[in-house]
Amino acid sequence: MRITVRRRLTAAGSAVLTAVLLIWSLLPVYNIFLIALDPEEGEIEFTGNIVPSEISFDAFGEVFREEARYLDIFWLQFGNSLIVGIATMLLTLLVASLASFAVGRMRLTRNASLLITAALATYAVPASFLVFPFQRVMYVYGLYDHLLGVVLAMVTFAVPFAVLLLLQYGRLIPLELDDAARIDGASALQVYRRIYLPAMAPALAIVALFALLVAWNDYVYQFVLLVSQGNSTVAMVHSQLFSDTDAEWNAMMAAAIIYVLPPFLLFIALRRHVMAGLRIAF
Amino acid sequence: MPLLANLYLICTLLSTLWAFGDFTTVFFVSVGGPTRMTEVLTTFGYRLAFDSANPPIAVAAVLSALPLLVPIAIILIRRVQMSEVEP
Repeated sequence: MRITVRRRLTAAGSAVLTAVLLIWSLLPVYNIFLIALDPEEGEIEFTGNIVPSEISFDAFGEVFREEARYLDIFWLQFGNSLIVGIATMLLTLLVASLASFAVGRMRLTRNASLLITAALATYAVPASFLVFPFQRVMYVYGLYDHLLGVVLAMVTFAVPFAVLLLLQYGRLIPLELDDAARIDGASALQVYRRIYLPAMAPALAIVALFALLVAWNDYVYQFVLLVSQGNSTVAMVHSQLFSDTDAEWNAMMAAAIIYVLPPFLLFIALRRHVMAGLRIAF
Repeated sequence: MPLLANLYLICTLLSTLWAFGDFTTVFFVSVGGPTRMTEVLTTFGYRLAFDSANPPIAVAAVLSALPLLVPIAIILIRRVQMSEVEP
């Protein structure tokens, strides 16, 4: 009797806790949709209504036709963001997979701990601290106000964690597999392409998603390293919202929702691999 | 829980390190104001580097956090290596 009561209390407690956490994390998302679907520049936020009385998709139309304030070159900026995000993703995948292959599979060193130590040590200095030297470095290399400059900076921050993740995951794949391929006459490059990459697919999916998000969530590097209008990104546009007292909130929020779509779609596309990778690695 | 203790600690330390470098939130919400009461190291560094055009001082200012950050990083590295010995 007492045990069932206690069990019910535990169940109720965890249900309440789950509900609170869900509301906590989903409230900002709900707020974005609430403002984006409001017909009048997002005034709904100040009226105290939690449930919208009428829903309109005008804000999305304005964004699509680039009519809203600040959003007159939205698709160009969206394209720039995509270029930065995808280039960061591909470069990180290439660099991190080659590095983890060399260290983890080719028996170049006794243990990979030195590389892991070096990789983690770079996180002692937060990325935003390094933006000042980076600005100078990119200026010297002629990459200031160039999308490639931002991409290279993002890759340097994504690679250490990616290598760590790939090395950990690579332990699960027996080295004998590589040996078998080598006995059959495969070169190192063939082992990398035919054995290592396919076997690492779940971990590579996580790394791809992580690298895209690093570039996608970044603001300070794009803000500092890109100057001209033609090179600006969506993240930079959204910052203008905060210095304007009468911004078109609904259009900005609609743009934010559109901005969220690429990583979301990538997650959906890679979902199977990502989930498999998470289950095995942790 | 005891099995996950190390992982929890690694995650906590990593997010501590990352939170130190948070620029966007403060810069968007308050720009360090009013009267610079909510300034964090990165927004302070930003002000020094680009508003006062003095990058060397800015780098010196943000790197003053290193004595705090390096021990965290050392603990982090130790913990990660520990979890490697016994996966």
